[in-house]
Amino acid sequence: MGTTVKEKTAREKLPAKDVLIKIGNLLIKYNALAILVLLIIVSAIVSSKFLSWRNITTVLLQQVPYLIISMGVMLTIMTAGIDLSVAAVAGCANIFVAMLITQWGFSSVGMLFAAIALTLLLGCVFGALNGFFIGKLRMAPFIISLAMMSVAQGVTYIVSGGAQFRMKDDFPAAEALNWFAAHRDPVIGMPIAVYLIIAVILVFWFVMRFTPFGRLVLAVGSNEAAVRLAGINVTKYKFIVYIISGGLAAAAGVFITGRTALGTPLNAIQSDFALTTVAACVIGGVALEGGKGTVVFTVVGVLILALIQNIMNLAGLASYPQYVVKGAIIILAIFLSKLGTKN
Amino acid sequence: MQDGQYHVDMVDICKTFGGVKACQNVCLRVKAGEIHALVGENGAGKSTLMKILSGAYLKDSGDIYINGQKANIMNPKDGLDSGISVIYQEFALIGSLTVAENIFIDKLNEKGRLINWKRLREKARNVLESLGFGNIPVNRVVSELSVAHQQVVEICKALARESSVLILDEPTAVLAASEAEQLFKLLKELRAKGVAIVYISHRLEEIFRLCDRVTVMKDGQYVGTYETTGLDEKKLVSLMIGRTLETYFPAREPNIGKTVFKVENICAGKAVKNVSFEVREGEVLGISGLVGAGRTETLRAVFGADPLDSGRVYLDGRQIRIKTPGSAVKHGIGMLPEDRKSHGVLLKMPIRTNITLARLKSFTGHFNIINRKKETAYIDDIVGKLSIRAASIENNVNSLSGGNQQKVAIAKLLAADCRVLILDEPTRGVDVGAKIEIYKIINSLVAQNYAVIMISSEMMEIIGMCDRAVVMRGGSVAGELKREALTEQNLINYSMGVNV
Repeated sequence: MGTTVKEKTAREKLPAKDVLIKIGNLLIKYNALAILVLLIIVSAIVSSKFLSWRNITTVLLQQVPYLIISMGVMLTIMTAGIDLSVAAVAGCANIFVAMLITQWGFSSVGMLFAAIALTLLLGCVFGALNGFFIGKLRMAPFIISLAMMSVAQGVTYIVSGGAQFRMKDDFPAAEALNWFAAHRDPVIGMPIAVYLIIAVILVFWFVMRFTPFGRLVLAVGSNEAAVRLAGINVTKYKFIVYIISGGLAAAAGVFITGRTALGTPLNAIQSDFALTTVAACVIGGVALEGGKGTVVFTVVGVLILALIQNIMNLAGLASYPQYVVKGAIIILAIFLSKLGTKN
Repeated sequence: MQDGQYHVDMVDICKTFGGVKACQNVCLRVKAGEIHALVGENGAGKSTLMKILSGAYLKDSGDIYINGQKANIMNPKDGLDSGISVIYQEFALIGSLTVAENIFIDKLNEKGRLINWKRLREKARNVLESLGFGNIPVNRVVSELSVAHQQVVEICKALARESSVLILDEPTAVLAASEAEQLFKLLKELRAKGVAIVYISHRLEEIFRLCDRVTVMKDGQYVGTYETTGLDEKKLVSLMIGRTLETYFPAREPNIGKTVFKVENICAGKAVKNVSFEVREGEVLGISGLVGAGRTETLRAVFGADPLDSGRVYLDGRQIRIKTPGSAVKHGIGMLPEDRKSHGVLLKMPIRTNITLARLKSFTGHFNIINRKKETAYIDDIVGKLSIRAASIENNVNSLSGGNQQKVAIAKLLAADCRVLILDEPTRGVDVGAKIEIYKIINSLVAQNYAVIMISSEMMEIIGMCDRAVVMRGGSVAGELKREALTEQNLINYSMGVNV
């Protein structure tokens, strides 16, 4: 009875108001998308350079490592976990691949692939350690991955002895990696690395949408106990997501090596990958309590943060205040996305 | 203006939870110096009504009068200030604090002063002595006391607040028979002191022994209030379930085959000692006993959800090892967990995800893609068979009623293709209609040769549904009852350790 009364009163309202409410609800539901569109408009107004093809493609290129890492971090958050070791693992991979090429004889183009494979394996090992403690021993993801961050930072300094390694052109492998990270296709001038990351995102989208793995990752995050009692090996899924996260972090580290033509231990302690990718996931609607989120909106989350960074650069804001502004904007964006999930 | 003869007078109380009417125009009138039973099936709304009285829930409409005065109970503090104390099955004691500290937990010191320990202990001793429990040491840490003594401390806590209304929710569920006797004596003394006592219990025999009047609720509605002297057990049961027992439990022709699943000398932790039982094809084996008798603990250990210390498990006569729920399901043993919301279903996930969780592999094709058409066909079929009422299978499970949620949990269990089904309290917290449907589902399962193990706290359910029942007490098997011997008296005797 109560519902029919409600329906009637809803119907009696002005249609215009209804439309507004509907738009409002859509905005709340897809608020990340709305924020992104708003940012694009604001950016275009703030700087005439923003909409230039050069700027757009450069922003995308800069976001390649963030996008790669965010896919793995997204998976861990979906299982109600988190991976805060990604920045350190990426940094460790950066030093590791640079040293393989410049110090340990992986200098030919053919050996580049072996060097990359070994580096990805290193990332997977860090991920597997995370996965073992978090999945198998059921320890808290937050503190385990923070501890793993410290381990990866330590390994970076031990291996490198604190030194930097230039990826000079006299190593063919270094030259090839640098080429890959910077080369643009001759037709529309899009960096080829962007095509690769689009392919990676498509794979994740496909896996999350169509395969049992995607469904079960979300299920584990939604109610781990119920999934375990249904006879499903929860540990396996948790293990896998941390391995993927570690492997992707290492992939990002390899990319940075090519892009900066440098292996430096500073990356392991200085980069903002962990904060930025976790924030991107949350802004994109991946719930920290697990069981919720989509690939597409995680990408939207990364792009939102990228645009904020880009506007600040284009507006000529000095780099130290940028940190403060970025932190404040992350807080604001998460506050806004929280409004969306409440109703 | 209210009739002064009632100390507590709840009039036309209504409360809905998102569409579900938990209480509809319910009345409860309790005199001072009376033990008043509140009975009804699980889900009848007893707890909701008591939570409204104590301020844990806010009523939608209706009035509450305490001692003739209209009481505006908005939160638990108002409830306590109105002299209402509830003793739940889960005690609200702080295990690491002493008896004296617990009794006076909300007024350890006088305002602006330090705690006077000597006086506090003395006051606690006085309260305990006034109830005849001077033997409980006030300095003892509460977690070291027996459950029965913890309950006494809870009651003392209520009295120390000068409560005039005492609500007890299934107080004897956690007690041994002799301890229950002591509790009855204590309650009768409190009655003589003029306390109004609301006594919630499923044990009809206790109600006739102890209570003066009884209020019956059913499906959130008020059935009536009766003098216990004018009722008998049969009549009370038919008032509670609104029909006779025969129509409540659908008939089934037992067709029992060979033994499928057998456990021997199961030990697990402190709660399970040397338990053995077996179940046959087409059979419903009941596991009965009081709360805390180790029923759930036994089956969880057998299922691999908790560690098993020792004991053997046989499937089709061959010994098997079950270390995780995953290996149990691989062997064809599935479990419907006791706690539906936290273990049974994924509340925030669609019905689709829930039902096929353990069956996704059978719908995948190339590239490991889930064939949604095939999946939907399977889901539609089982949704029809179990008559799960939902607007769409894409809706989240938390949009369903308790009964339909439980049916989704059953569908999820069946999708795993198990033939030994452990059902832990399969009808807890669902309404009467859904209960009967779940009984029918169980009947159709055994007709298809499934072997069913059903844990239940409701004796009527054990009697009405099971071909055989194992009664547990204190972590061990107290006895086994064949169909003919399944009576309430026998179940009570075994579960409470009365000599038979």
